[in-house]
Amino acid sequence: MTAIKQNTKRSKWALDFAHKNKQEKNVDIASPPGYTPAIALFHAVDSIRESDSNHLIIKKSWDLALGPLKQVPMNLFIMYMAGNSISIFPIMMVGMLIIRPVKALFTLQQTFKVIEGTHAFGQKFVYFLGQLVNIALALYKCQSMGLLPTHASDWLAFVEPQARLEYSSGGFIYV
Amino acid sequence: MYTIYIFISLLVSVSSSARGSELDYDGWLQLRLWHAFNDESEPIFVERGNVTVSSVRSGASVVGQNGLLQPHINQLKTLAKHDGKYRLKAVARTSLGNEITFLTSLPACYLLGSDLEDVITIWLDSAAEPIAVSISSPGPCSTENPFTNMWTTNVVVKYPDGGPVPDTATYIQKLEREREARERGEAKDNRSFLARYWMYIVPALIFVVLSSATNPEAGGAGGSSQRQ
Amino acid sequence: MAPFVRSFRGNIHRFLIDVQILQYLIILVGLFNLSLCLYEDQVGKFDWKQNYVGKIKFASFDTVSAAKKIIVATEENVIAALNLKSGQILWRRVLEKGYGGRIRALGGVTDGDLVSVSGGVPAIVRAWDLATGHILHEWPIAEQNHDRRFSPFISFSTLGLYSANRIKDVKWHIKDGTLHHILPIYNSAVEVTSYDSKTGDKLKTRRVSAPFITQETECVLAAPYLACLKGDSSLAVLLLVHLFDTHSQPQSVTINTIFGAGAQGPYHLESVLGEEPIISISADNNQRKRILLVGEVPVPIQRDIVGDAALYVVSVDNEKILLETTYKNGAKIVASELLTSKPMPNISTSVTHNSLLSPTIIASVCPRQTKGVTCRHLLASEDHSVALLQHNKLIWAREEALANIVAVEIIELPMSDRDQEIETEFDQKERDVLSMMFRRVGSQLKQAKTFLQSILSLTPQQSNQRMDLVRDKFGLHKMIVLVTSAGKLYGIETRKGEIIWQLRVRGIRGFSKRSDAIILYVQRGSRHFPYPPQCALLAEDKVCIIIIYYHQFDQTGEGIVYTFNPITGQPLDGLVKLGYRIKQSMLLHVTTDDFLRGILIFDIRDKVHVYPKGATAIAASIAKNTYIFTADQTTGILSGYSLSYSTSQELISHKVWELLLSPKNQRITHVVSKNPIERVHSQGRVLSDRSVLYKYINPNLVTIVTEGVGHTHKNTLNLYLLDVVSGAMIFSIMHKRVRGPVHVVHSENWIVYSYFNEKSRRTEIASLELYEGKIQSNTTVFSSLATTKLPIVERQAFIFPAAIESMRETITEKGITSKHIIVALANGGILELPWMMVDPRRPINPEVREEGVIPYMPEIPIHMDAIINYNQSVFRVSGIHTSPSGLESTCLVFVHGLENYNCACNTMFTDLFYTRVAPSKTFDVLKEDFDYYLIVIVLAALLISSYITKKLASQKAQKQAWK
Repeated sequence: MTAIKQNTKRSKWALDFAHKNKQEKNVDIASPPGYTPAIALFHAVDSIRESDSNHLIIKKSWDLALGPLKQVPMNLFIMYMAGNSISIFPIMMVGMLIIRPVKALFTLQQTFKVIEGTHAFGQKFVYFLGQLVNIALALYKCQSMGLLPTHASDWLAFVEPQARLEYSSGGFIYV
Repeated sequence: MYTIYIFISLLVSVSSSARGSELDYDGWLQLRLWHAFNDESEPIFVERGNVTVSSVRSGASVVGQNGLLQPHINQLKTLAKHDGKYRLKAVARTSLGNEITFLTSLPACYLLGSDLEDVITIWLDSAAEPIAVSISSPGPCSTENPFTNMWTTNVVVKYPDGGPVPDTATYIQKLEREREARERGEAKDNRSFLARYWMYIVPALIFVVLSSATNPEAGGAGGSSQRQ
Repeated sequence: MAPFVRSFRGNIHRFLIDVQILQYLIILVGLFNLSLCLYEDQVGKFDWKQNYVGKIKFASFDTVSAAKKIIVATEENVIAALNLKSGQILWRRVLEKGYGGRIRALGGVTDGDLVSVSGGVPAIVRAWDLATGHILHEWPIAEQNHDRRFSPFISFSTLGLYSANRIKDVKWHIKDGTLHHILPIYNSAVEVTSYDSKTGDKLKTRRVSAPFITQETECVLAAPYLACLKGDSSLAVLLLVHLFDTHSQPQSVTINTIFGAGAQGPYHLESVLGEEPIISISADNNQRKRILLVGEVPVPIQRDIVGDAALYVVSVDNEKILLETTYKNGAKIVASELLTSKPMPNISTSVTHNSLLSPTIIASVCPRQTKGVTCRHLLASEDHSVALLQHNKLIWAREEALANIVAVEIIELPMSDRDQEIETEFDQKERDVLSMMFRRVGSQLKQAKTFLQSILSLTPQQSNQRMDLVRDKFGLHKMIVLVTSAGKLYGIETRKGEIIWQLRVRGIRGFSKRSDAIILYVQRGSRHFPYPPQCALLAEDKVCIIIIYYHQFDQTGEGIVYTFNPITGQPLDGLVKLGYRIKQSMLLHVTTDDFLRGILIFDIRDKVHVYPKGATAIAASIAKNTYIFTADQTTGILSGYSLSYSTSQELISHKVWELLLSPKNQRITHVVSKNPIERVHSQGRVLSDRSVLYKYINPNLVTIVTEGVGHTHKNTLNLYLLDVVSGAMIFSIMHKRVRGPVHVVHSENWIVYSYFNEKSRRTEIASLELYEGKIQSNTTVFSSLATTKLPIVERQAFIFPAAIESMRETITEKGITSKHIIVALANGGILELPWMMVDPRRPINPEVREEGVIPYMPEIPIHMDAIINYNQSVFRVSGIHTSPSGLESTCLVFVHGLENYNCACNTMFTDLFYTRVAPSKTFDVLKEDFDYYLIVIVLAALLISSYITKKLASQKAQKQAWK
């Protein structure tokens, strides 16, 4: 709901002809200009102000790219504080530590869509590296917590029972 | 047609390493060994040698036995090919004068694979009388000619371990220790909940206050950059 | 800042550790609770218990109390009251075990109080409350000593010998609140001592002269007379002594006056049951008998009665009626007037019923009612069942034979008819689409037809089985097959404990050397439709029963095999005499083409046979890896045999190992193998450093327990672990100053055994656990012959605060569920003890915690929550049988009790208890009280609300867009 609110606030004076919105996709005839079913309007007072200078975009994109790396010290601190015992809070923390970079990697293209036009390959790569570092940190944390299946005991459940070669029976004699 | 008789005398002293063993008696024990290589259900025993255990408690033993003759080795190989069993009969004579016969066996191929190396285990009961003689060989399974025709025999004497008893003494000691520790701990740590855990509560409070103060803006900015 | 952070971190750590410990505690508490708590409404839901009283010895109709009942005293030292209408036990009192509690006399019911005499020397007299079964008075007769003086023949013997010898001569008579203790003194007299049955006061001692009584004299009590038969088979005289008249002389009646001339001995004397002093004498090798009314003037009845008729005298309107019970395909009771022998057809009756086998009347009443005389007879059958007959009708029958159970199997029920049809449909070999479709349509049509027929009720159901006797979804409903030592078989379904079928196999008995064990094998389960399930009994021919008494153990009967269908109780191949004596047997693990598992029978000459013969080829194909071992209790020899020289025509055994547990030093008491159907899921244990300690799971490992004999080795207990394939001893352990009873449980890689510690005077449980080590020698197969390394043995002992009667481990289908040990306690409780509690790896000083290991405590607590039979006490448990159910979490438990007297006959006393346990809780089923409706409603509400909110949201967005 907040997102919608923000978008409507921003997009009072912009018309988008390039993209059809969701409802329009199935319709042959385009809607009349000015008609928006919901949220097809662009408006950004801030972005208009900023877009005139290109280096601002680059700065913004580098900010974005270096974001994950900036998180590293914070993550380290969280990991340090969480300790190595397995209980609900450390597990949740570690889970967050892993899931966030992985999610971010999957949404990499979307994240960099903000920077329109520029391909920003270097930024993407740095962003990617930063997320990898975060994942590595999280994995290290898992390892030190003993959550990685690196021991024989972790695979014990999959050890098949030994097949029996010889069969035997007997006991006290009956007579 | 000539045969070589090689007399090997091996002095092997292997003591059983059982913990808490209780053998009240000591004595000697003599085993006379016969073995059978024939591949039939009825064994034909020929003499193999003898084992003398001079002291059952220490397990010191002397093994005297002849090397195997070539025809016997051939028989053993046939037996191994047919997955047959090498049978060993042991007649034990104890210091009390009892004579007891035991029978044991192992797959013949193990003997060939280990070049006639075997372990004879003598199990005694609590009265130091033999109850079982068993032969084993480390293997592996093979039907090839052995390198040697001489036996390498280890003799192991085993006797029953003492049974476990409920360990009450240690447990009571442990309880004592725990009680003492608790008493000491109680003397030191009878502060109130707040006094004990203030270092968790204060940072948590600070964190909550700070985050509630800064969150709206930070959240808004973060949201705008992540979405779209 | 840094120190603060460190201490902060440290504190967080400590806090977390505290939390962890708290969690461990919660888990620990959880362990004790382990689904064992039973809610009140769950009582009797999963379990049932059947009480039995045993073989009836004395019985009496209680007609004086308001609630009519039958009072019975049994061979199993039980006094009980049975409901007259239903046969249910109103109350039951179990007296002392064995000799000390044997009931000698029961009486006084007609006077409104119940007096029993039980035990040996001293005999204990108890007066019972008829309505509740409470003891009102109790006193011992402890004055046997003075009798010794009068008896010159036995004065030199010890008191114990004397008591044991004479107690069987003692007769008891209870009348009018007085207990008469009647002791014949050889060559002299009969001593009659009278006591007040309530207070125990000695009222009077009389000596009635009877110089003719010797040790060989056969005497019966026909109160107030003692009748003795004197003489040999050619000439015999009956002597009658009036017990309460010291001045009277013994009357004598010659056999000829009773039988007339021409009767042949040996004669046999019996008192006829009933109120009247009447005796019966049988002659001509029990071909015929005659009765004699004992009184001032003895009156013989000049009429022959068939020898095997059971007699009872009942009075109807002060007239004495003789009831003769004979059995030929049904019980027949012929009534006649005693004196005139006039038949009375209105009282005579004949009944045919399953549970009536050669019955005898134990008690009878014939009250006159408005409609006429109605007789009630309590009949006890040869197979120990009890029945109440009223007029011509069997009112109820109790299967008191359900006792002395020697073998138990729990068998799956077959599928329902419809499931079976589907099964046959897909069981065909050819699988092309067209024929499959034809078959499908055909079976559909058939189903439709039967459905229509059942609606129109044209034809009755063609089912040959009861509709409810089908497998349920979770495999919890099963059939328990019980074999009693008398050769009677029962099929009991597990849901309610109802006896579905019973079958009496004549001419068999258990293997005498194995305390009358009969071996029961399940050759084919119920899963192989259309083949019927098949069970086989292995037992001995009854023919040689006499020879056994001369201790010639090689003269026992030849082996027999009896096969039957365990679901219906129908014999399949019937009784097959084998023609050789059985030494050992084994059930093959492979099946023939018709899914039948053959039985290997090892005869006394070490020859191996296969039953059925057709399975010889299949048995020979696996003979290379098949081993059989025998243990001889008398010689102490253990031998192992291999079948590797077998051909497809014949199985040939040869001995591969032999060892001797010298009977001079020790006596083998137990040979315990693992349950052959057991499966072990987890191959190792996780240590605290996350490495694995692999279990030593040797399926050929057998526990052998011996008790020391002789002076020096008395009170020692030896336990040996033996690999029965290679003959290698794996481990041996010895306990000093302990004695039996020993109970052993051997499962997976552990052995748990209990014994009595003489030194500390307490029951202890010791536990052994075997491990291969940190690496597995062979990860795929286990061969006893290839494994030479001895396992690591962990051991620990615990104090158990109760006496143990029996132990057994739980078993589940896949072995995933943790193991519990079902322990039957002497106080009647059945405890479910988690194996974790007797884990030998329980650490004394826990520094690093391992998963699922509780710190060591020397004493195992008995939690009342873990008593699975709550208040349904089961006494004198002799065996516990566990069986997996279709659910991995659930194990079925069947407990039966028995008492085995140390005399020629085995008598029995049984309680049957059945329940199911879930050692790791029912993790694979929803709870009983799971609220299906609630979850459906919640889900539906969520779905609907999400849909509605979606609609609303879009509407709102639209509105906002128009703004």
